[in-house]
Amino acid sequence: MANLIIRTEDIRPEYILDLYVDTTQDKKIVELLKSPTPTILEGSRGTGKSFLLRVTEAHLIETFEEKRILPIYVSFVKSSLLQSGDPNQFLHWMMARLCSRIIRSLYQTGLLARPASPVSLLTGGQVGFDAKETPLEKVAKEYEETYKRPGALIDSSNIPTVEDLKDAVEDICRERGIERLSIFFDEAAHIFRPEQQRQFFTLFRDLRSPFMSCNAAVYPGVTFYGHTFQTTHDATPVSLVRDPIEQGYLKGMRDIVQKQADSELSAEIERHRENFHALAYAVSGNPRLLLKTVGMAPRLRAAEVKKILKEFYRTDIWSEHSVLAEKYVGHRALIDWGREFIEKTVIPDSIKKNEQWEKEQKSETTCFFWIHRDAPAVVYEALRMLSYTGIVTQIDTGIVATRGEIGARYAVNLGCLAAPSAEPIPALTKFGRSLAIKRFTEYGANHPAFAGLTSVVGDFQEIDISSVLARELAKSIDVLDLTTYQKSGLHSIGLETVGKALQASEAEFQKIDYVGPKRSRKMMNIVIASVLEFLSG
Amino acid sequence: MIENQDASSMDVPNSDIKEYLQKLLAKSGSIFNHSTTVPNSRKIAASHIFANEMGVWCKVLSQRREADLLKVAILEYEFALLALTQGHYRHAFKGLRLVLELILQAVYLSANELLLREWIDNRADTVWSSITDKDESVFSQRFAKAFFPELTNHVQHYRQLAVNLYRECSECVHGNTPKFIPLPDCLNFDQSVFDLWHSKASILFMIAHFVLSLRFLSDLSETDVSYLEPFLSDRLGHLEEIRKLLGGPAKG
Repeated sequence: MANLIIRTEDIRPEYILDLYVDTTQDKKIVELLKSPTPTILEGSRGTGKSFLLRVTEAHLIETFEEKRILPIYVSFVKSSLLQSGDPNQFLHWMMARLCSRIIRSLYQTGLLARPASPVSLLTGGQVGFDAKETPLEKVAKEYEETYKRPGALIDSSNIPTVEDLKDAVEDICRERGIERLSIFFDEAAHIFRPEQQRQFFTLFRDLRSPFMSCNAAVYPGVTFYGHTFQTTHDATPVSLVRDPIEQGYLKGMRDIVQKQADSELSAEIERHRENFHALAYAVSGNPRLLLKTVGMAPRLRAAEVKKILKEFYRTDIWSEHSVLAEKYVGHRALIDWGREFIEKTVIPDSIKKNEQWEKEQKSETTCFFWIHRDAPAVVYEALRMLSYTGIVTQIDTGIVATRGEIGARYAVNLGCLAAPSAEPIPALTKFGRSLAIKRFTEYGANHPAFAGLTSVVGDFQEIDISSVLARELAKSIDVLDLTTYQKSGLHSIGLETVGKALQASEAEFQKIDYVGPKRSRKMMNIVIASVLEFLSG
Repeated sequence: MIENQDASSMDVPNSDIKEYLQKLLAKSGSIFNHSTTVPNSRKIAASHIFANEMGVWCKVLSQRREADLLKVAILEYEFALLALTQGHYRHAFKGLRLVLELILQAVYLSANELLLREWIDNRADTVWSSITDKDESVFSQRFAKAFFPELTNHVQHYRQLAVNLYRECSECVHGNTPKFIPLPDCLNFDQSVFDLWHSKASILFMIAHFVLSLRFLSDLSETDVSYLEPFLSDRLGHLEEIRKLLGGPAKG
């Protein structure tokens, strides 16, 4: 296996720029991240979000003397380890982490200096007269102490507010001649705990000031921005999608590998261009998967590449998706259904379409599919899980399909689509030439494949009933975002709690006057959405 | 020796010792200005932060005797940095070697209390070959298997880094013909030597955090790990085994 680095975390920050390929898209993103505009960078695992944040950080460090913009990289990857009933613990943890990263960056650039805490060269012992804390360090310390004692009785007047932090940042910026701090939140909202996602985005919005600009990398389909955060007003959302049908795609992917390749690998890429291109198309724009699969077939011989395409995209790529089911037990039914839907419905349907068009000598192929906007909410949730691992990519929403129906358009990973083919390399080459985004397979609001999922939804609470979830299920349906008429209708048919409504079927909802299939679906989506939020994250 | 063009002015017949040393001090002062002007000040700051990081290690290991050795290492490190800023390059590199030695010794002795007590009482010496021994030292498979088995595959590499760094810095102790560290022959600012020191220091940071993590990280409470995490992620986050322990992602 060739020794290629496939994760940004494996690269020491000082070597980041050595591996950077400045494609037009990436350059634009880096410029946006450098600007004062708050940016939310959205992309599946392995598309290069962390990498671009690090590249921007490195650029800003290089130009600090001239621009005076200090980059602060903060990773929230550890947030999934925080398990506490204290609703403020997560907020305090985020604040503590942010403060400590700001202080570290100030130390690293020499804008702030202090002796090591247990000893000082100036005093010979404990830190002495020179150790007066800046307001920023004081804020950091207080947050650190608070989050480490979740649930402890703390005088809330002692806990600094976000405004205190902003004031401290403003002071330090003015004193040290810093134009502004540019914050890069990595792995923000990477877990599926809606409450924490909301807290994060509220903080993200509240932190905004002339002295601090915030940017965050998130996975696709983060839907829990909370009531106070409006994606278009409070940030500029940017999708990090490397589209295989875009011009320059192959060159960009090739350059990414070349940055790390030794002369032998470079020669093999040159010799077996088609095989390399097949691997590049197969990853559907995911550099990490490309580095991984090239590492598995470094000689790029046809047989070797064919084996990878058949094995990796049939089994290995799914392992990460399946791991999600272990990590987020509450989502198991969605995760398992998602795989089945793609493997048994979407891929065979797309293959059938492509074969048919080939017979008809049409030059187009598809990897795209469309889901009706009124499809059950759980179907969208399952697709969100698939987007996280990059097996599907949401292309856009509001797409008009047959009979003027509206829905969202997705693309399935090309490697998965080509894997069942007897000759996946030529199949992928053909995709590269003939994919047509206007051609997609449609799945209506009540497609039979969805029945399998909606029938297991009621099993959620049986699998991992927790006290929080139990409390949620016991709540009156009056808490739901339904109309007064719908609520009284549910009461009239005996569905008084969220739990009971969840157990019921849409047909039962239709017993209420004037509630037909469309309304009952919408109502069910609202019921399910309220429960999904409390599934274990 | 001081810079040649200044030598004649040093030979003033009535110059007393104080005056002579003041001239050296003034020269050191002008070197200090070079060393602490951007971009060099950034390099100094980036290296100085290691002292703060070691301070955090001392804090989380405060109940252990070997924390005292780490405190000495911090002081020596700051002396080395001060020597560097004033152009006392030989002493700066010698300091670096001493810091390496003290940290490795602290970790080595932490696994042997009898030796630790003897060492503190001055009844045992530091023997470099034993603190980097392939089979017995902190870099041995045995040591890694006992304290952080997942790092076993890395110890050999870090041992080699430590041995090389020690050998290179030793040149400045022995004063023989320079092979790795070409020191200037007079008191003067030297950008390449200044940069070389930071480059060697960055190797020291990796080794120090690696051996301390190897020995202690698995045993520390979550709270203590959270104090270390902000800088360990930067320094050793590229090692999956450590990254995972800090709550970061696995490879793949």
